[in-house]
Amino acid sequence: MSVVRAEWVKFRSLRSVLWTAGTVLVLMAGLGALFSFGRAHELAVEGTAADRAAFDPTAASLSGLLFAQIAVGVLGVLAVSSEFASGSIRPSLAAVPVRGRLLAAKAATVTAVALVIGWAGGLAAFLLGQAIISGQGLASASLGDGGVVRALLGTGLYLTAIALFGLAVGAMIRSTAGALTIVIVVMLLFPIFSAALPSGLARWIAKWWPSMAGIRVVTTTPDPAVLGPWAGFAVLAAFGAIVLAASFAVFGRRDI
Amino acid sequence: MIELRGLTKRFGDATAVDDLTCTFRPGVVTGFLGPNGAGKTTTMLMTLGLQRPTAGTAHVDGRRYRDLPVPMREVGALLDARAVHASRSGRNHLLALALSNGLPRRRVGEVLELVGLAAVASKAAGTYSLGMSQRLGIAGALLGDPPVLLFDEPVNGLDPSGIAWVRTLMRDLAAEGRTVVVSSHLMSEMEQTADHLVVIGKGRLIADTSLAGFLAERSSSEVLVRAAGAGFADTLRAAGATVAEHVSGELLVTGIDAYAVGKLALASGTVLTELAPRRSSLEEVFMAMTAESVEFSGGASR
Repeated sequence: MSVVRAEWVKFRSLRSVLWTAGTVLVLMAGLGALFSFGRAHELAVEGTAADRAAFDPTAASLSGLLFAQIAVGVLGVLAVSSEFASGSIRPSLAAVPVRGRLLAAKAATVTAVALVIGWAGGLAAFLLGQAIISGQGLASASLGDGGVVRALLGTGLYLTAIALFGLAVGAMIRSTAGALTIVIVVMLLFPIFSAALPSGLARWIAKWWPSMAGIRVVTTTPDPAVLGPWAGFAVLAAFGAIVLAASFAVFGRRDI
Repeated sequence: MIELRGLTKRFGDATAVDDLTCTFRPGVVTGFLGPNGAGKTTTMLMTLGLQRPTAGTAHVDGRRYRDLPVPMREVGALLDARAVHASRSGRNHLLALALSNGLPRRRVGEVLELVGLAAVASKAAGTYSLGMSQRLGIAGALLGDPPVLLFDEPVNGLDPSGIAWVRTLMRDLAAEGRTVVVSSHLMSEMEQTADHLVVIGKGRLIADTSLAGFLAERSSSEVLVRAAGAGFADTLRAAGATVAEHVSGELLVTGIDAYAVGKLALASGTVLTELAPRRSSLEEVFMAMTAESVEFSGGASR
């Protein structure tokens, strides 16, 4: 526990990290509000009845998540890579020579931060977005609607999984730039470009690729072509657990 | 007390530390000396569990470093003074270290006072001068009030008053009965600080001896003589001395001491205009000793 307190001091004492955490909240709430307004306004002005029926107000208000996940991935990466960049990893590990204990404390800190900003940002984005959508005269969602509470819990869980993936990659790659590239390619770019692959492969990737499966947990509309919310998140969690376990093994043995 | 037994570290084909066996004892300042690249830092990193020995062991009071329950209460280390996140304040850097070992928060203020950084403790560590960074690193090493202290090149970047301060601190810490190990590639630093010397070159142990013993054993003492009139050189040679004659008339005498030279002068009725025993400095001895084991050397200077 004392090591976790130390990691918390390291976290809160860096302005760049606090800025990144703040950015996650702004991205979630701000982009969610912007998308909600844009989409709702478009539908209100020129949408057909069918378009309006197909509109998913929950998804629209949570669409900032796609960008917030990059900022959260950065937080996870920086938790380890900044120590390698500055060289402070040596005094840190001299103070806590059981390497797994240091990495576990970093993981605990990153988890707590990602959960809190994911939940706070998700709730803020949802409430703001729904107010904007109903302001445009469209049917909005409420917290009591089916799956909404689960989706809002899911924002924190999804961002935590991404943050821990970033932490694990940071612990293995050590360089901030290298680790960030991997996180962005794996979590964001590859899923986007996979649409250009042959359709059978693209469908398989859409169903099973960790980030695409995992994000099902924040959706409220069932889709038979992909996994259910919890099954999808389980795929992401299992993938994250494997990468995290690998990072403990590598970080535990390496010369620092 | 730190005990190294057959400590070896290889990086591929290169051997950084080669079968090093020695003991760093409490109550004295031990100078850990060697040219750049001799393996001093690697030895310290292995002692601190940061690098894995290829062979051998490094024990602190009989235990491996990673088995120490509260490491900072057992060993304090200053490695690279710049190894601090540039935008974190000195105080928060120390606070994180203290908390990780369950040390009381007040220790942070105490060590900041001790090293003279209290006034700038809230400033980002990246704004510190190299000398201030060294002081911050020393503060970190002292947080747990440990009986064993390792300092890697602690006076690097310090001004003369800072160097004097570090010397006094090292001597005080050793006088309290602690094990104090100070690495350096500059022998001259050690003449006034260390009681004991461990010298390595290319990763191998060259000497493990007291400072006085090191000088007595290793330094060749010469006597510089200037005599009025010629012929005294032959008198000295006849008495068994080795004499190097310089064009200026200087005689560099080895093999007999100044007292014997004086007696010979009296006996032969020679007037000496100069008689000066010359002892090679620690620096010269060190240079001569490690000359073959210097990793990188400018060809011409050898």
